[in-house]
Amino acid sequence: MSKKVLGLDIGSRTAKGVVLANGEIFTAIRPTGFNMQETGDALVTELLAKAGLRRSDLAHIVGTGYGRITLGFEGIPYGDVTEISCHAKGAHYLHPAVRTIVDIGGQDSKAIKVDPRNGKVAGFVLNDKCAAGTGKFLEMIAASIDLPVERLGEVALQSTKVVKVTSQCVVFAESEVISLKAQNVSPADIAAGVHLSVARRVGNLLSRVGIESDVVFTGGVSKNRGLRRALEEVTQARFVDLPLDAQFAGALGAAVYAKEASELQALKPERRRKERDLLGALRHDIGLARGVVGDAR
Amino acid sequence: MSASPPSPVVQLARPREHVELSQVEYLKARTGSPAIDRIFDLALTYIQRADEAHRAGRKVVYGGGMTDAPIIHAADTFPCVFPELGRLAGDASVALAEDHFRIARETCSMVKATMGELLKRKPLFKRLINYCSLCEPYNAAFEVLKDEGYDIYSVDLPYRPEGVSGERFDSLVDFAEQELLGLATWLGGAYDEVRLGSEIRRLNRLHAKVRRVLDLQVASPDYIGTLETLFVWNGANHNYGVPGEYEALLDQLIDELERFAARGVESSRVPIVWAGGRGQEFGLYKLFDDLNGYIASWTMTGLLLRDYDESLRPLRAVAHNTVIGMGGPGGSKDQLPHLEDAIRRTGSKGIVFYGYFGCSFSSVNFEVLKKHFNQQGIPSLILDGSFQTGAPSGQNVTRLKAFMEMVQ
Amino acid sequence: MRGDGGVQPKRAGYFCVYTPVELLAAAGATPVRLFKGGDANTVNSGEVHTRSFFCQFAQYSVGAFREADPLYRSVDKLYHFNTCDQMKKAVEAIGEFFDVPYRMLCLPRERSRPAAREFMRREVEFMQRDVEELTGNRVSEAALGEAIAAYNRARRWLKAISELRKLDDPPLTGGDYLELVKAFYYLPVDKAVAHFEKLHARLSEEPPTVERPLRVMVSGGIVADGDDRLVELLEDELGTRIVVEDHCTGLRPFYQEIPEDLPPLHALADGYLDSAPCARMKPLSERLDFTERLAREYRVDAIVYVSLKFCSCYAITGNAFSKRFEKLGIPVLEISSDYSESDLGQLRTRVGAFLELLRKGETDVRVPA
Repeated sequence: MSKKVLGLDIGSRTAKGVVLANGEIFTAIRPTGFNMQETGDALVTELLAKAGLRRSDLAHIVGTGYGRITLGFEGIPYGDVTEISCHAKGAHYLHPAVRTIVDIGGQDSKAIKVDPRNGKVAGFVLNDKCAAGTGKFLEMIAASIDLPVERLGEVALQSTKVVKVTSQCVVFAESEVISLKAQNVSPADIAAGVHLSVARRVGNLLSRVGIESDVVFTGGVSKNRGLRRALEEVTQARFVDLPLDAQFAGALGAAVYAKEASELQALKPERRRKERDLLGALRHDIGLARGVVGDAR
Repeated sequence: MSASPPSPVVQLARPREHVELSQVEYLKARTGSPAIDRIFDLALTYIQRADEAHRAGRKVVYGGGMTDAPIIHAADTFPCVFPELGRLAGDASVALAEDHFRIARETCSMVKATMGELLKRKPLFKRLINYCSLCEPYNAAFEVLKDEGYDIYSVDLPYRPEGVSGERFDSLVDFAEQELLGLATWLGGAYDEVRLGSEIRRLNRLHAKVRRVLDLQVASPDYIGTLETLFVWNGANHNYGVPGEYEALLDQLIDELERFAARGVESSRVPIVWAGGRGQEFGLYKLFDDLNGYIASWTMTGLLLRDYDESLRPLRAVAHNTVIGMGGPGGSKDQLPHLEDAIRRTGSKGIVFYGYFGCSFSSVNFEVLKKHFNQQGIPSLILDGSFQTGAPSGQNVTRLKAFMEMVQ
Repeated sequence: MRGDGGVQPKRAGYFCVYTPVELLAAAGATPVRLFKGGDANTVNSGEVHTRSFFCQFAQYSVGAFREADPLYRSVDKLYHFNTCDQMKKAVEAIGEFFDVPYRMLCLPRERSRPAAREFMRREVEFMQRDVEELTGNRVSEAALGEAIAAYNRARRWLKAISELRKLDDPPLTGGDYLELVKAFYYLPVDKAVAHFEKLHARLSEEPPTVERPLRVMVSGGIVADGDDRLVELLEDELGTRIVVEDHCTGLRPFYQEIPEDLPPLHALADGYLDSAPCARMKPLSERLDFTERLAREYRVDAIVYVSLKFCSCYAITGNAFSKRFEKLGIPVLEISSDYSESDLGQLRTRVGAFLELLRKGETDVRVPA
């Protein structure tokens, strides 16, 4: 009887869970809320019900995402893996020929290179410092042309003219868009121009890991067909669809990791630095010299 | 021919139309001044002529063309200066720089635009001059550019800290002189002092003519606009690669301006001191003209028009001017007297401090100077410009308009 | 070191490691390196006088003066050998807005040129005259020679202690080492040497173990006093060991000594010019050669290359850095950092994913300790 495992992806907004049982995949999703442990527990309960399993059937749980490090589950071995590795593992599980993942979320964008032999991460680049190239930028622009952001993609597809949105920074881009609006450039053309701008930023990211087909587009923004088209144009790569909703890729990857972990005898906990107080006297003297009042932290 | 004020073919009545117009289109449009038209042509054909010079076997080098111009001319080298290179650069170049060099997005647009252009142009000539005290991002970027096969000479020009004078100033000039000797040698063979001397005298003569143009422009500011003046200015050192022709154009322009001034037309334009960089933002300069301003003094960059001291031996004269004009701005206090003098002399109603977003070079200086002039009740405006030749940002347009309304 | 008979010695502050502390000490001044960072409020305060595109270390430095940090305000004069644009402007801003006297000196970049060397010597001489004026003490050659010897002793100890990290299971952590470096900058040199000597003896006695943690080099821009997150993440949370630093608050400034066989002023000029270089020095290839040497010496498994956002020197050259080590087969994680609190989760993900990528073993799954 093969082991049943569970993966959790606790993101900043939504929490996803996947159970892998005898090759079948069960999914669940709910808002992350404030208490991640509670959300995690709720997902576990929901998934067990969907899969017709008991708690004792679970051999291992792996958590990923923002909330991964704080979780624990009574009686079930738990470990964490970053969402980058989980994304790769999950995408690979669903489509072994995948070599590049483009993940554009609300707050960040990622490019992940996947080793097609084992689904391990071969390289990755993140953009989480700047709104350009993320869903946030699209939200801002959608607001300035009075469109709900969910419609932005389909509206972009109706564009008939290439309009360039060139500003480096989303703040400037917003005023550029307002200016275009005032010149009666159509919302469709503006939307397409903005999507191209996002695609270029992301393309920049992608080129750092090297774009190789097949490419998979995941993340909160991946349902935006206008952006998908812009990405295909910019990268000239072959984009494929995953057989499962891409937002579960992370949780699925976590579940796959859980399976790997459950097949090992025992995992060693991370090494801790040896406690020592050899530097006590030195620290004291430095503290005096540097002045404790007005210290950095 | 009538010396009426020139007007570009495309009339720009409202600022937002700058979004549509490119600098290149503007430069192609004919003005009413034949001399300016020809100068615009020289700017438009600059890079192409640099390429032709290279193909014809002449020495061409990127960069330089500021106070080091006598050395470059004396080495019979065509200076393919960065501002002219940048005129070609669009967002594609910027994207290329970000991509290929992985230059952070926040880096100054001038650095990215020129780096992108240099990458695109890699198969052509490859020698480049870098001045170490001008710009940190360039320092780093040019190190990286060496991997692309560029032969880069860094002139380790020392930064001129505030208040440096006397023996220490001489020490800086000594070092600069050694570095410039290195440049002269790198450019081509033995250093020819006699030739350098004659280039210095020629450039001094040219500077005098440029100053004459600027004075005439100030006296009758309705003949040519700010951007036109800027392009005259730009050629003061590199001469658009054609020293003889450039000088003839200066003579022609002086003649046109004198004839216009003789008409005695009163101007209602408001004089403003422009401090900081010159940049590429033609949209802003055009707007400035449309808002009825004129630039009565180009200060800070005005230091590039200093005469070379002909009583010094030539290389030292160049070193001297280079430390003053290019050794960094030298701190805000050093700039203050020039600015105060400019305001006094010209009766200017305010100061515009123009720098690029991302440039630490000018930033702190501007804050310090602004504080000083606020205390004196002289209005000033700090603009964060961009090297790109596209439309000025809405923010800068608004600020400039508000400022001009305030000083009218 | 002579003082001024009962009067408090002058406190000479400096930011960058190209300032010859020996000269300050020989004049009877107390050298104080100002290299705190990490607190976002101080950064915001500093931004009032700098711009948004300044690196946060520069902003912090200005902010610390603005917020009247006692250590920063205790300084009588700042000495700054111009390293990068932003620190140069930060010093000028501090001088202008907070009335702190400062002396800006010029540091050449093309260090192999004879003219650069001669110029550096003149600048050091000028600094000497300035420090003499500040303290009222004449700096004799003998005093300077003594100061050089004293600081060299400290450097030698720091290097020796660092070399203990060449073992498979180093007896001290990277976090520990950074504390030792702080002693060099905050304490009088003799006191620092006393600490180092004792610690070296005790650390040398640590019995070897069979552990072999992943060996990491941290390379890049300044890791300020108070910017602890990366070190804590790498060592405390993720169990790797930082075995060497290629930055100016780690091993790098102590890798070489100031020559003791030259006239002292010349020794200082040459010694500082020749020291393991900051990325502002030219050519870049020399800097990369040094890092490569360090990486081999310490047998690093991976490099974490950190640059502050908006830093020209380190951020722009990051790609060239990574390419060099890619060729050598040493994986590099490039991180662009700042002092914002919200950064930690993202940092944890990046570093975590990098380590997962490196892991050749059975699984990437990490069980928290």
